[in-house]
Amino acid sequence: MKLRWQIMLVLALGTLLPLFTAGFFFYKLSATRLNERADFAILTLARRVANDIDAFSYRATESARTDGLLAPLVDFLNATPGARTAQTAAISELLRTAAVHDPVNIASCALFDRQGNKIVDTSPQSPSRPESAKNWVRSPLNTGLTVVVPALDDENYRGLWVGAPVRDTSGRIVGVLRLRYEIAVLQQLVAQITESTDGAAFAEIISPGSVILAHGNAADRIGTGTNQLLPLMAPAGSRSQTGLFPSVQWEPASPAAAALGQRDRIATIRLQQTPWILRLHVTAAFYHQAVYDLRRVILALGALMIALAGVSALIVSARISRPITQLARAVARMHQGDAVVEVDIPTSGPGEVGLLARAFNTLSRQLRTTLTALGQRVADLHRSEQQQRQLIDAMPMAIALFGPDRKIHYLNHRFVAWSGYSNTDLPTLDDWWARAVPAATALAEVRARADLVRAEILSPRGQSEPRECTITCHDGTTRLVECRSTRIGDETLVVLTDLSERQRTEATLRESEERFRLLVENSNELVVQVSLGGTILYASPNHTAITGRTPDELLGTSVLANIHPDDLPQIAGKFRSRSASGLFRFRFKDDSWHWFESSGRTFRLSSGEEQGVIVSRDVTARIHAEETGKHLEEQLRQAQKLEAIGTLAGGIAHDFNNILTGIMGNTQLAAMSLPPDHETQPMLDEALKASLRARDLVAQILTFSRRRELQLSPTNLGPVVQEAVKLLRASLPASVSITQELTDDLPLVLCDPTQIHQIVMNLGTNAAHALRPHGGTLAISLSSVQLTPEELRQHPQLRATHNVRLTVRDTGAGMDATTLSRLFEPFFTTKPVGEGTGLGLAVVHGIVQSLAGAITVASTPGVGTTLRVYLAGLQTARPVHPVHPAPLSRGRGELIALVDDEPAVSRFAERALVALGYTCTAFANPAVALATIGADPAAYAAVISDLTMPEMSGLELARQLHALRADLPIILTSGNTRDLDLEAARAAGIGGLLEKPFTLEILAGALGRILRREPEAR
Amino acid sequence: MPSPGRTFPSLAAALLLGALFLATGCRPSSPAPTRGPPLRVGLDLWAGYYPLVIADARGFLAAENVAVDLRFPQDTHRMIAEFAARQHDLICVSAGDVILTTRVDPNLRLILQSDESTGGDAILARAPLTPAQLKGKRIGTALGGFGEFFVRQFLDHLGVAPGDVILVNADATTVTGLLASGEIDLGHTWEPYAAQARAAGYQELFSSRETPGLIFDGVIAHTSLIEKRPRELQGLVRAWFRAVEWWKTHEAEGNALVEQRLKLAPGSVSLKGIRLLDQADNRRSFGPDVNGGPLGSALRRQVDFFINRGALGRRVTPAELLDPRFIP
Repeated sequence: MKLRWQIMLVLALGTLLPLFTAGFFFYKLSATRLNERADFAILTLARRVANDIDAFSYRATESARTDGLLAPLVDFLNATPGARTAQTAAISELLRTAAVHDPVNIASCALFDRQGNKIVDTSPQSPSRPESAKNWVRSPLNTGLTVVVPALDDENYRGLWVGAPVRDTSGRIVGVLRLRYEIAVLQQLVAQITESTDGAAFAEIISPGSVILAHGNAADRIGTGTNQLLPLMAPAGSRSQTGLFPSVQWEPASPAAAALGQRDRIATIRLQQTPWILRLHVTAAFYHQAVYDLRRVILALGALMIALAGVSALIVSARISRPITQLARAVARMHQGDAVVEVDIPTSGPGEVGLLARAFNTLSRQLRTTLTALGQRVADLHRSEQQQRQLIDAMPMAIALFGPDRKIHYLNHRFVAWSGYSNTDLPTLDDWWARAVPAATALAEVRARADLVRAEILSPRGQSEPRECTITCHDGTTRLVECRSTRIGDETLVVLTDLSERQRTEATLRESEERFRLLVENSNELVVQVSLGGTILYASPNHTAITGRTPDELLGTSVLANIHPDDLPQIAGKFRSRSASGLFRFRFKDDSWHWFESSGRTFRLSSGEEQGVIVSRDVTARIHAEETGKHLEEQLRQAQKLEAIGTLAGGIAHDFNNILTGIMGNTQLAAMSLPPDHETQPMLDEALKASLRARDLVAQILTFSRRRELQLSPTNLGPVVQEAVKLLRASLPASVSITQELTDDLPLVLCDPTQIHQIVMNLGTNAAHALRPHGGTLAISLSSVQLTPEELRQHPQLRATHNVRLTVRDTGAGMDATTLSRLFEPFFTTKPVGEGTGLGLAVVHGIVQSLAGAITVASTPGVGTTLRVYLAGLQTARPVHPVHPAPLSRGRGELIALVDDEPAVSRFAERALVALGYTCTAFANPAVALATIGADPAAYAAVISDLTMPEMSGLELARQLHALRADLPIILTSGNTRDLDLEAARAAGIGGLLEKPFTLEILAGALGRILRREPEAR
Repeated sequence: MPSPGRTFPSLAAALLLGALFLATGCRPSSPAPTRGPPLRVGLDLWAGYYPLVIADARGFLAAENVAVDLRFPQDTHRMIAEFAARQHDLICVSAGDVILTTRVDPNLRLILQSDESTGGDAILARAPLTPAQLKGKRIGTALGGFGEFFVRQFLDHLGVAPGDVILVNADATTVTGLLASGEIDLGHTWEPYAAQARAAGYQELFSSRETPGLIFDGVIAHTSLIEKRPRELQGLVRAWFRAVEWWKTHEAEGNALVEQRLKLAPGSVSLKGIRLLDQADNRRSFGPDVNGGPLGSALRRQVDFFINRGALGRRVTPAELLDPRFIP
């Protein structure tokens, strides 16, 4: 049996046996006590029922006895028969009243005379029954006592009869008063027990004649006899003999039950008022109910105890046996060779099992450590052997090992590779020499030398002298080898060094050296060999051609000697960390600096000395190219920014020009409609001037964003700059001193003079702002310059000659690097809010860009700022034709169609045309205009249409109108002519183009020209 | 296959549950209810009670899974005493007997109103009498019971004081003979004895037709029985009403069935003078207002009579006498 089950058995028995013993005795004692209590309870119940019956008997007899003393009854019985007849009804009513005591159970009430004759009976049926001989009549007459007589044997007299003597006042018995109760009245007294116990208990009343008077469980047994009590019954009249009663005993419930072994617990009590016996039956099951309950509880608790004991035994046995089982299994695993065994048992406890587990785990760990170390040692040895074998196999010499019996034990790979023979081909040393030296004479010589070698290795030195010999390989080739023998124990190690291979290697090395020397000497890269201290040990010959310094000049000098001072710390640091990679400037013999990129590495000489090789390349051209690229990239970024601003400005300009057209035109019309000396004229004049300034501002924005076509012409910049300086002078404070230096002979520049004017004004205003706090000098100069290669590289759009340079220099506060980097950024300003728009220098920048020029800035904080504008001059000069304004053209009632969706423009133009003598029809919708004009195109002298309209553009309208009438003069107006495709306009037959905002004069001029079929001025 | 580690807790749990099961004395399932012993029903030979005989004979009770043991003690007094002694489970009695039985057994309830007398009870005499002629006349009836109550209704009807007549205790079965012998001048009896008296030439002076709803009968049961076997009582009441319906539509057949079943003389069973109360009648009687309804009113009047006669020491209310739960 397993240890666990043994422990379980012991624990279970040790726990359960005492429990079972205690439970058994507890049950026995409790059962006895419970049975005693049950007997007491039965007897108590029987006494209570007996008391009820006695109480009933007492009431019945006492009621009859006292009623027998009623005077009317005595008088009635003492009366003569004749007198009785008259009183019979009254007496009957009186008796009936007596019966009212218990109208349910009292069946009748009767009165008997002294002879026992029935005189009156309340029951209509009773008079026919003779009762004079009945005991309930005779006994009261004879004994003077009240009696209770049950009658069951005769159905006619069935009932409980109560007879009481009727006495006169002298105590003489004059008759009998009789009450008949239903026999069921006794049944009523015992029925409650049956009902309250559901038949588990019942009572029966037995007469002295052993007749059952009432039976709580079987009414059909009433009136039947029973012999069960006969031996116990006391003689009649001996009520006081109660020696046998009360008693409690077991009896068969019935003969049939007796056959089945069923018994009742019966309490027997003699009644006090009557000579009857009360027997209270309790079934065995009901009697033992409490014991059964107790037994069930004990059994349940026993089962619970068994379960708990079993569970406890299981747990305890498991706790004890499990570690032992684990130890046993662990030992078995160790026995099977598993060295890594450790039991999972809590070892911290003080118990024996914990002690055992600790000892086992300690033993296991030690064993494991030992085995691990042993295994490691074996593995090391095996690895060492493998390494040695690999080493020997990898050695460049052929090695053979043979024993004292001349048997070859081992040949390394090189031996097999050289000779072409394997170990199986050469079992002995003699076989080897026979194959390696096939010539007999040579073999004899070899053998003679072998004896000498043997003597040498047997000497204390244990090693032979190296000897050269030629051997023949398996493929017939011969090799010159050096042979050396060494004694290792009783074995001999022979080492053959292939001298042929060494000879070939030396030749190859020489060739290689030559090849590399040529490579280095003819390369564009400079090569130096340096010591770790930085001393140049070798310099490639191309140093002379590239740097101007000969290798001899460089040898012995420091490799850092000609490095640019700015680069020296970086290169020196890298050299110290043995990294020769870097970018630095190197000074050539002509003292010019050139960018070099180098890389290098260290190597170790056969002597063990460590040196370095550095290879350097001239990258000056690449560095310059990269710098130029960065500059161009910055320019591109700036241009993209301006393009974005321009797109925004163009969109605003269109609508703004429409508005200005309305303002300017209407202002002019208003001025024309008033007398010249009218007081409103100055105000209208101011309004017109303000509108013109607004127009110029829009034009400036469009120019800046390159959305306005410039009117370029070969221009001499001198007069333009002079005029601008005059304007500057008028607008700047006196603290700013202006100097100008203009060269006379300047090349012409293809530009719009207003642009140059604007450049001078903007730069001058900006410089004056810098001078404003303390004053200073503003110097403006204009000269012809020739650009240096460096300047050309920075501004590739310019040419080397024929450039005009405008210089604006101030002695103001100067700018820091941050401000300089954003100088030309639109809307960037250092001025307070309200003093500057941030567009001045951006516009200048835009103009210069549009003229393919360049602008540079140099500034030093606290010293001042110099801006230089470079513009390309023309190679040859062209005559300049001044433009004279045309006379105001007026109409003679011609019908002009005006199409514009802008109401302000449309109203102004309509009024202007009328003022100029034309007839005008205005249209806000191009489709309506097309339909109306199309109905009669010949009626219209010309059409003036806006370019940008919803639903249909002015260009499209012109196309469709020309389809109807090809010679119809059409003028297009636009707030932003850049939106117009001029080629498409010409193709559509557009006769003129008016740029908004236009004045009355411009409108008149344009309309006059187109009606006269003159070409456009621009 | 479960591992030992998982089997063990299951085994332990089963043991513990078994132990607790034994400790609480529970059994896995309670036995299915079985039909109890036959209901012991005591009844007089009164046509109002015969629907139960018909229900038994025609299997209406069996259909309701109710078995009865019909008993005919032919002694009402004894039957009531035996009912009080739990020798009968149910008895069919008059309203007056219902009230008087509470003297010895207050734990009873009227579960069904079987019939009402509509001429079944009568007061007969040799010849019609005026109220003045009634003075000093002997009237035979069962004193102390509902017979006396009926006679007093008769006297009230005529405006004659009870003291002006002489009440003689007489059993209904003997009334015709007492009239013939001259021991009484008037007598109260019921069918079929009333019909016999009329056949003998006696004149009907008063009948229960003139006291509608006052004289009725019913079925009473102990409260212990009501608590223990309510389903069987419901079945009995349903079968009763079914028998009433059947008898009303098959009167002759029903009469013959009862006569054959009870071994009565042919022609002795009749519905003359009584009205069987069906389910609708009982619903009205046992309706929400038992105290104020006609049934409650009739009961109260009889209770007052018994109290006045000294036969009752406690006023029994209709609400404590009636149990409407069994009227479907």
